[in-house]
Amino acid sequence: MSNFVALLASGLAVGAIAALAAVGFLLIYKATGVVNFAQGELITLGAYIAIWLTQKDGAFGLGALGLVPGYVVTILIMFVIGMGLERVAYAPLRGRSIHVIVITTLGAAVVLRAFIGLWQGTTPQYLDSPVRGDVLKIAGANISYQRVLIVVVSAIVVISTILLFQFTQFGRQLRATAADRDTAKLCGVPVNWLSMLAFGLSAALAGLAGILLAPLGSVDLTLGFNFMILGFAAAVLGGFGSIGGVVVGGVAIGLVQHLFGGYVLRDYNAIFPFVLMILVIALRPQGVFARAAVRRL
Amino acid sequence: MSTPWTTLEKPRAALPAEVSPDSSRGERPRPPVMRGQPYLWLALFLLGVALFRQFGVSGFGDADLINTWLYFSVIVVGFYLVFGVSGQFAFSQAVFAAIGAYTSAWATRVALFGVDSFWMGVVVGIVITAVIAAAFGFLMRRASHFYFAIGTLGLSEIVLEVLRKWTDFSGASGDTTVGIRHISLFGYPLDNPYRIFWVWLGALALMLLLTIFLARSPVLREAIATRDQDVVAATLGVAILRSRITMFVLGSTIAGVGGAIFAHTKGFATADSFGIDLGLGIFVMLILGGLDSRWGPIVGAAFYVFVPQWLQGGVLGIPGIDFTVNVFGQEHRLGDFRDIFFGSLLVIAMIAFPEGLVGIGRRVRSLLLGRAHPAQRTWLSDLFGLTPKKQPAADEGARVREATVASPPPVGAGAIDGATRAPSGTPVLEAHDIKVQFGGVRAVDGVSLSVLENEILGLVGPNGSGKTTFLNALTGVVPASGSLRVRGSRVRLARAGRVRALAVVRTYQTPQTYDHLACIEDVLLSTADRSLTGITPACLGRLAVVRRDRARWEAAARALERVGLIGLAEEPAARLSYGQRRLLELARAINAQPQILLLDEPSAGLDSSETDQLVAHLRRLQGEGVSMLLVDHKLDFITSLCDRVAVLELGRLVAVGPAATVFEDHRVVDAYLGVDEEATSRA
Repeated sequence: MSNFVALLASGLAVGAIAALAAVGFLLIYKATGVVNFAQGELITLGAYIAIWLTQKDGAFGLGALGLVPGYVVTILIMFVIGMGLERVAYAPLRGRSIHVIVITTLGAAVVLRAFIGLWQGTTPQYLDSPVRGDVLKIAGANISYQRVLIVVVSAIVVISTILLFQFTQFGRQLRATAADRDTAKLCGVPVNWLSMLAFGLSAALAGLAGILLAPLGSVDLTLGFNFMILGFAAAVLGGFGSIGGVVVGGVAIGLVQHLFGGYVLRDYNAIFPFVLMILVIALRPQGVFARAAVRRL
Repeated sequence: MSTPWTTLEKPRAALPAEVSPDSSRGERPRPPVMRGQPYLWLALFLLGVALFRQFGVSGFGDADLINTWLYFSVIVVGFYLVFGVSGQFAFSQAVFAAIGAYTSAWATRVALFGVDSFWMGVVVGIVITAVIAAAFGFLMRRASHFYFAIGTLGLSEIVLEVLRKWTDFSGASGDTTVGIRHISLFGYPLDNPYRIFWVWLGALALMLLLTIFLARSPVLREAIATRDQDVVAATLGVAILRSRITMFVLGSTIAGVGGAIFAHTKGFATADSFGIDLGLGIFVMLILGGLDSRWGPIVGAAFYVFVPQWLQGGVLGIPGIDFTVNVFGQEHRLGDFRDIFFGSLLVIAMIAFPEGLVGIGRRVRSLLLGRAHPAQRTWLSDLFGLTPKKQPAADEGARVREATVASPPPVGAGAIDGATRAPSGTPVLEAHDIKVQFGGVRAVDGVSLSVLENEILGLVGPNGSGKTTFLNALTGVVPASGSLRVRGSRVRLARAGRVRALAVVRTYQTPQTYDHLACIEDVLLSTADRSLTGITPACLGRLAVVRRDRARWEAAARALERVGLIGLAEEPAARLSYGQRRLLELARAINAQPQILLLDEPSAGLDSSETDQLVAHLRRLQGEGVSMLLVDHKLDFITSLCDRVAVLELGRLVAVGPAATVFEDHRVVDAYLGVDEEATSRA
């Protein structure tokens, strides 16, 4: 029983992690119709910036920030970086084919990763957490507080993102821009400003994800990429584009990975989310894309 | 030279009408890929590389670097087929190389079939890679671009994880599989970079030959058509699923071959050497090199391999820049900025030169030769007298002018024919209770309509009445319910291309032509004779394929001649005016040898003389026994052509009959002009 609870808890945590990684790129996807393949690198960058700000000398030798202030500053920095990314790698390409834009985000990913490598080197580093080492005991199973924290924060992020999209002027304008950029512009929606904001928010969410995910293990250059792929799987399962759906998808892959992988083929549990994802694409390729595919001929 | 198309109108009337359409060109048009000397260039390239390696390179380091370049070239040539030609967003190229490498290593280690040679291993590697790629391609058959990309990322994770964990298969201790058997040729082991070079050169030669074979057969143009407009390609009769999966399997298998050779030449393998770094590198190489040319991969790989080495202080005897930079408190040589450099170049390339280095090369060449666009001819082929005689560039204008003037078809003859072959009254296309629903809207709401043999049936109705949607439903472009029979045989709805097999061909409201194909290739897509269009004949039955294709060019040229576009046959469709695109679509429809033609607003955007030409073309087709369903808005155009007229309103059929009676019908008048409220209330 305790084993089952532990696996269930791990599954839920994986779901929350995937959701957290996914909300960032879904935000951009919903606002611009582009999947940003550099999102994983932004997550990595967020983790490294947090380490940089909170380690013993702090940034530029200014002294270490406390953990929570460090986190907040990281998220702010990431917001600015996201806006910059929009200007450099997306704005010049507006209106070009999806292929071109996606390749550009790949280029941005390569640059970000190489930059982090130059800056921080390749040796794994560690980010501290206010709840490091604390463990919650439920029905005999040990669940680290970090995972609980991730579940809670994911829930808050997902709910507030949904509220933002559905009930605010900003969300309405974002949806209008996604549906038809030109028409939105004609209606007076500040589309340029909006897509910068969307990229900024998305990067800030990536930073948050990096901060929360990093204490689960060590931080190296592949941290964000691995979580992002998990986020993709969750997003596909949840019907790409739906922010609520990503939670469902995330929990589904988490449970498959830990419950299925916990009892059968334990060594290979990392592949189950992707097997599930490929099956979903094969059997139910609908979702947002199916609607987007109907063109007027 | 600026685009001449805009200035076409004026000289038109002044030109003598009897100018023969192809007098400026001594021979029949053909797909531009059939011009030029790719085999010669390939031979020269191989010779050049071989000579350079043999006499220009010394030292194991540089020899090894050349091998790495050839290795990447092989893999990226495969990716050129998957991504460049077929447009499939695959991150899986690197892991297919891994599959080839590990499978081949495994097969030689366990001596499968009692043989432990590399050659057996590579064959097993090819088979397994192809099977996995085919299975994956089939699973992804309905995936959109993003889903496909994400699916291949998932596949990469699965494959790498399995290779890391399944040590019985990989034979790895720790992360590395060691002791992979070296390649031997005639009992002669190829165990140093100098000897291995010849294996790589041979492999690259084979792959390049393959791309030439594909380009000089229907395979490549059909793959490009599938990439650019898959639905249109399907309605023309191109087997889009086959095209996609074949290109994916072929390209992935090439990666498998590359991986196998790599593993057997190095003697060891790690899963990480096929990881995401190589995956992204493959994108960088293809895009920097140029993704629309078979030389792009080679140029891109050279750039990727040699430039960082050069920045590290020189390569191949070329002295490079060698100084260090202090970044974040550490000394770095310039080569350390490799990935930043490449990543930024990828972004810059996409913004500034999407055709890559090969594209830049073409532009430079055109500039040097004073041409506005690249021609097929090269100085070398001129030197050897290999170029077919072409008119100098000055003739271009004349050729273009002819194109629009050329041969309005003999109106009289067609019309007389049409008159003699009256509609017989047998239905050839019977649509019953066709319904199309978009969300809550019934765009087509139970329409039953038959096209009779040899008639022209007009379909009219106000905007939004469902005319185009009805055509889309018949051709399987949108999901629809109901039943459809063509000449008695039932056709499944909602499958694009099904009706094409029964000689039903359509045109589109806005002309759907292919910017990246020459006009003649565009027309060739619809060819009725689809034999020998696969990759097997393209590679193994060259003579038969070329002979068969030549007959197809003839037919396509006749169709182009008929609509007066023969002079533009080898120009890309992107250079055509709107009206010319309509004619091109018509030529494509004619080349399909249709029995039933569905035309969606063929007269839209045409001026009155162009409309007259169109009427003549359609009359002539009717004279040849083609039945037509004609959607249009221009009532005089409809009345002059159509034997019967059907009227749609809000997705329902309100009237069918001879034009004169239908346009008298008050329901039709109401539909078009609105209801006279007063009159209704009085009645």
